[in-house]
Amino acid sequence: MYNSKVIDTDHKDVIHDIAFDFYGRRMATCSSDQLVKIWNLDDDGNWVLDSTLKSPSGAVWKVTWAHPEFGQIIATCSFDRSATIYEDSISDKGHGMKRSWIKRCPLVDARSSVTDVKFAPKSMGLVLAVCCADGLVRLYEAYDIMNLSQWATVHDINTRLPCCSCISWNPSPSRFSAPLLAVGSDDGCLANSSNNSSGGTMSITNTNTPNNASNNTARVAIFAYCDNGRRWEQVETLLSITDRVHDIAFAPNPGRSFHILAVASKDLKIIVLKPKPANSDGSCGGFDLAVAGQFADHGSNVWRVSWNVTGTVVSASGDNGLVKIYKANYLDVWKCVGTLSSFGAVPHSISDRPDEEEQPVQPQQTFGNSAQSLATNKSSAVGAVAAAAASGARYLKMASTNNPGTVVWH
Amino acid sequence: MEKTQTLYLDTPAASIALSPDENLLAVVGIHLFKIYTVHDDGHLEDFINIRSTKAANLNYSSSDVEFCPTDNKVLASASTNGSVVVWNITSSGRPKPIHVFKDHCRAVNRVNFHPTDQHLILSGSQDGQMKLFDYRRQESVGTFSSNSESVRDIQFNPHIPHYFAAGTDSCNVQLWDMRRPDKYERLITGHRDHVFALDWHPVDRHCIATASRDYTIKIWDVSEQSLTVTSAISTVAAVARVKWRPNHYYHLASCSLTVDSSAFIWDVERPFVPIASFAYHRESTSALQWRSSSDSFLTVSKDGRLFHHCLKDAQYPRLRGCPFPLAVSPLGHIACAAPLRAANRDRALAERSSKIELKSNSISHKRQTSVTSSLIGTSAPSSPASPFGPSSFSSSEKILTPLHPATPSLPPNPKHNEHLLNFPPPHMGMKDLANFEDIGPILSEFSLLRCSSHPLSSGDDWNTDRSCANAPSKAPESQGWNMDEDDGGCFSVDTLRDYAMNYMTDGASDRALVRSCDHNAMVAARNKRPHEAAAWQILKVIFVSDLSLEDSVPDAGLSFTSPAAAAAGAHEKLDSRAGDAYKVKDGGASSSPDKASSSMPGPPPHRRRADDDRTIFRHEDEDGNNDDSDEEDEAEDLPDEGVAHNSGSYGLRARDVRGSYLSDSAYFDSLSAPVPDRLPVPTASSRRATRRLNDFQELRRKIVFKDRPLSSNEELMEIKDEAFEPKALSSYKIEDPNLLGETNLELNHRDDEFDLHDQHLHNHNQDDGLIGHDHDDQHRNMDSGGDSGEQESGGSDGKCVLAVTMPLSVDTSAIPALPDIDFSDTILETLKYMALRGDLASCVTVILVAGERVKNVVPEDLLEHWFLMYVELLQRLRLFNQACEVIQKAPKSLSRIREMNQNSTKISMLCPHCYHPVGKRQFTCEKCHQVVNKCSWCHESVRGLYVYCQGCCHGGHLQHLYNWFRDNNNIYKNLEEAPHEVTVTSDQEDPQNGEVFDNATMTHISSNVTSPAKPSSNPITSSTPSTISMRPFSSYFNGLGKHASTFTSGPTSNSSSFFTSPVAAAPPPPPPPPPAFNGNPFMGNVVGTNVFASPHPNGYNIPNFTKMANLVCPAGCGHLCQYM
Repeated sequence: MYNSKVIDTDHKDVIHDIAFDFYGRRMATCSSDQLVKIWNLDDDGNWVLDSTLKSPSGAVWKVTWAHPEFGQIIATCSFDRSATIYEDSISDKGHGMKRSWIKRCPLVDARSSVTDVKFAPKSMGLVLAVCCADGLVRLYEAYDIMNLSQWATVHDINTRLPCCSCISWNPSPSRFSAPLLAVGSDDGCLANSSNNSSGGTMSITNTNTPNNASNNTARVAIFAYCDNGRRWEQVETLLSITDRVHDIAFAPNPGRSFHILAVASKDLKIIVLKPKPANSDGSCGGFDLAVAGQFADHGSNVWRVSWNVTGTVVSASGDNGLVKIYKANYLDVWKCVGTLSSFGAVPHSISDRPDEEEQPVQPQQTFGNSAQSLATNKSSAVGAVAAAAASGARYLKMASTNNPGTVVWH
Repeated sequence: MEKTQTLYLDTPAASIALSPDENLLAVVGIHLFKIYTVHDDGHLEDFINIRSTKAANLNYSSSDVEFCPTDNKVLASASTNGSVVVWNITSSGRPKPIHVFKDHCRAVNRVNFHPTDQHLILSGSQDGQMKLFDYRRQESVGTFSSNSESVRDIQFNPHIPHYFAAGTDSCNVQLWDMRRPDKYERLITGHRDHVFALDWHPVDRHCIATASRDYTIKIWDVSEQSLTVTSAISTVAAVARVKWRPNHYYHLASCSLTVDSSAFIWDVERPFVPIASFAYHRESTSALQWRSSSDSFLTVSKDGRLFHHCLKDAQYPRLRGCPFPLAVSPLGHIACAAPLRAANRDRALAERSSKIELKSNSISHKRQTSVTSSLIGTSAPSSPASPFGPSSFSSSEKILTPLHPATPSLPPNPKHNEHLLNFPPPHMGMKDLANFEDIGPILSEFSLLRCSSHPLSSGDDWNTDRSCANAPSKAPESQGWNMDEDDGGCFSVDTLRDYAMNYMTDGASDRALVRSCDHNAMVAARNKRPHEAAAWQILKVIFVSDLSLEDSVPDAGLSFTSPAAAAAGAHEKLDSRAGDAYKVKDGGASSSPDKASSSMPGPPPHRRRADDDRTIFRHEDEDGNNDDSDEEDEAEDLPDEGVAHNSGSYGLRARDVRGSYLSDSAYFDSLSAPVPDRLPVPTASSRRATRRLNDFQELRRKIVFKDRPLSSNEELMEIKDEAFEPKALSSYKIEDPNLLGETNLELNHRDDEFDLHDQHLHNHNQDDGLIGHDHDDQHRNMDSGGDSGEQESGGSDGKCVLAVTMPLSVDTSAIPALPDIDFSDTILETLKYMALRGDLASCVTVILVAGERVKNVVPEDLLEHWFLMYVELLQRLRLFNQACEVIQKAPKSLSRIREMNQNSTKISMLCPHCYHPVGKRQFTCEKCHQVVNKCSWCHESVRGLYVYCQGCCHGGHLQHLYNWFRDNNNIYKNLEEAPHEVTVTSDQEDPQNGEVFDNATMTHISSNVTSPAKPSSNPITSSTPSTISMRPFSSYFNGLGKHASTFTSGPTSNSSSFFTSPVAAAPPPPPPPPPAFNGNPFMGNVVGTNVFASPHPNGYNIPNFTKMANLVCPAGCGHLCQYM
């Protein structure tokens, strides 16, 4: 049974990213209000605000944790075209040890908006990939992990994508598969896909009409590190995806012979990458791509995807504010197995039980046959659950309409 | 239709001005003074170049220009030489200077016409003076001294014409009353750097925006009562200009002085990210001017270009940020957030606060101030009216965040109200966010979904997901799956944890292997994971030919297998005894479990087993209708789906034969949710199915977990003949009402059931045509599959053998040893399947248990992959001991895994007295000849683990300190406040070890520590100098005083395992009180390089534990151990 807990983050604007650390015991949230907040899970299972970091200027788009082997390190990227490394460090000055987050290093090489930051898998060392809207992905490495104020660019990858929006490392630790990096792209922050190159001659000229060529370009490229050239090479382009890609995530690989990539664009695509045998010269052989699942039940956009720790369940959040959970069945057919509405729970908790922060949320069954899912739930007859089911009925009603947004909450 | 247009000026421009009727545009710069005619579509046409007509004159190089607001023909320019020039555009179109005021001694930064009196011009200059000119009188009519270095901007309040504001270099904004030229009336302080620009709000007379070099734009409420910041916008660069957007109450445009060449449009209600940005210029934008249509504006830049921007061609930086973030934690928490209107939130809060006033008082107050005050300003409409009337800013009808929207009159905008109710709007989620309309502030509702964990409770029915139900073969997995508890889709974190902690990995001997397999099967079973449970039993059969070992294995304490059943192999006898035991136990169980177990006459092993059994049954009982039965119901309720199930099931079976899913999936599927799907059951009632399923499960328990041989030959033969699980199952399909839900009854009748089952089996064969038919089918399948019945004894095909023998693995005694069959493929497939389903715990444990037996079965890279992932998984769950154990026990071929404990850890030691490096074998310092590593207790040199307090650095033998703290619990209570820590390090037990030690780390240490009675006998100790730091001290004491399980506040799981371990050793003689501090014992064990680098000022090396732990913890616990 679910608990849905609403945490009052006290962020003053939209929260853009949430990241859990390696153990899931700490959490970082970042928001447009330029704040990054660090939360700790206490022994009672509550999330307690640990500290608040203020980005010098600009909204913080993404936040990510480094592997704890390197320390308690987060990286953020923000509107001001920089990525920043923070470290939670202990100083033993004065009486007792004091802990504080210290800004270790701003990475300001980007010439355009920095859209994503991700730490590489532990096996590669303390490496941070920084993705810029101009199509460059820079890999920074802290040569000396004792001194996090010095980061050096170790690789510049020109993705040749129109506007990179997200990156994902392949978390597979196997040394037999080259490190992989997937890059997705969108239209930047253009609401309607026009671009901003301004032609012009001597006098007044009309700037170009919206360039719709971007609708036909590939949006996802996969890069592999080739030992031969000691450089990152593009090994695959996902031609099938031409919509804006909002998020991309490799699944943790518990020992599969293939990789799974979840791509969030207009719909959620789950793509299986089966490595081809390496070329004779040892370079990466590329992948056989297959779309294992495609789900458009999120409404207009899927925003984020996130895998569970074993890479078997993927969750996706969409424009309608719902989180849907997908998982493969025994035939490797991916299916939506649950819908969570975090967001709808709130008015209920207020209107029905004003003093109760936490209440179970009924897993919603979609697919339009919610009546049958009621039958599934019928066996849960114990009191509290029944009460939850009663409230769940409302959610079901909500789910049965095509448009959750049209249901009045109260 | 307006378009974005550009115009090359060829020279940097400084300022720009539009005439009131928007027909003329003046652009000025150091080398530029042009006037253009503006067409309706924004097209600009060269009108006149003033500079070209005359010889260059400094009067013509201007820094600012402005048209008279009431006269299209008059404009004023501010020159860099300090003169203010008033121009009149003559009928010929040529501007003619009316007058040149040369009153300023330095460059004039800004000129501003009086809003009503067109003859008055105000100027602000670099010399710090502001002057008022009347060009009719052609003289300065007033001088205002700013007392600062320079005046950067100046502007009349359009609503209060005698009022003007000036931004100065002294970081403040002065509000002047024109009628009082001696001193400014008010001073706005708050910026931290030069104020470069300001702009009065076009509607709200008390609202002014100021922009500064400190990267901020601040919106002030300067009404009579207050002088407050209502909003602060942070930009990425020093702000050069700021202009309110016409007709949009909350919008303003800005451009920056340096660094950033973009122009931005901001919503003061969401001051963090601009609504729109225009990155067209190549150098910084120096001035901007709105057109009255408010959908376009003009900018000039130092790059010599002029742009006519249209909002539709803007970039929307807010789109860059994801509005619906999501994260899944390793613990299965799903965190997500969704944008929520602040208004909505406020309403919710308002309602809530009205209900529970006291409790939420502070919250709602805080919220309202934090959110609404910044938007609305602090001057409430009810406040006494100022001389100028109430601030229209606060009473504006455009207020979007009504505090009490419950009153219908307040939300004036129905459109907005609509947004309130359904946000995000269905098909305009993002557009709405980037919208230019006033949609009000948006917060994120942040929520966290997690599952209340039911580690052992049944697969919660109402969590059963339908797609799993649609796939019957998947059903057993869905049992254990709580969707949000994440993991594995099949597999909860709790299960994983239980596996990791309780699986036995000992497979050295056959006996140990059997024991481990049984134990692990039990572990899997209690997690309701029949697949793995069965797999363990299979493996047992595969690996151990002589299963008679099974019951003669001495019980190690953990295992539930029977120790004493001395008569190994006497299974019949044993079984009958077991049967007795069950009966007795069951009888007792109906009254009281305790009594039952105590009164049970049977041998302890049996009781133990019975208990296990009962546990299992209890679980099943709690389930009531568990998942299987639910699916069952569904399968039958929905014939269509039933067909699908069947096909799925068949598909699996087919795969089974092909071997792709072999033993695991196919067999298990058949094991746990099998028959009903196979049988065409259009008419069967769900109840029957449920019953059948219960029966089956019971059977399964019996067979798989009890290893209970069938009681009679006849039975054995029966099943053996049929030799197929589904059939065996169907044979148990009895309609005995006692079976349903009445566990006790069931238990009591268990032995009878077997008979019943037999009868029913026959009955079914004879009576139930459908089932009988099905049986025939199965027989046929069997035959075609290779005479599986024979395989059990003879065997030809490993895969089929698995499928068949498994249910019968029960009867270990009756089955002759298996011939040598190559099970490699089977095992590999099984392991792969486990891994694929996310169950690395079972996968890796199988390898550990099997050890050499599976030496070459799994490709090495795959093996390494599994181990790496499993170790990482364990570390994620902070099961460091287990991770370390896995690393230690990894097959020898996996050198990379086995070396994981040795990476990047280096421990050097210094003499605490003279800082001379101490060698490995030495226990006295070479240089000063003092004993290092003395125990504070016994004053002997410590070998092996060294435990010390991080506060005072006293320490010594683990056992001594342990006893000391245990016995002196009360004495040191006061230490609980002290932030002391206890750290365990270890000296080298094996001095042969080099500088680089096997940093088996904390985890290893703790495994030593858990058995303090015999630390030296533990092989791991031998080469493991490590460090455990524990804190706080108080928890140490508390942990000793209370039950061990409370001791989890230590930094690492190791510390808890240390203290939770039972102290088996006889307590040593009462320790003497700690001796006086005689040197820092820890200093003999200094760890980490940085310690050398930074000796403590008072002579003691207090190590920086941040770095130290970072060094010594390759297990990945991070160096901030307090989070552990």
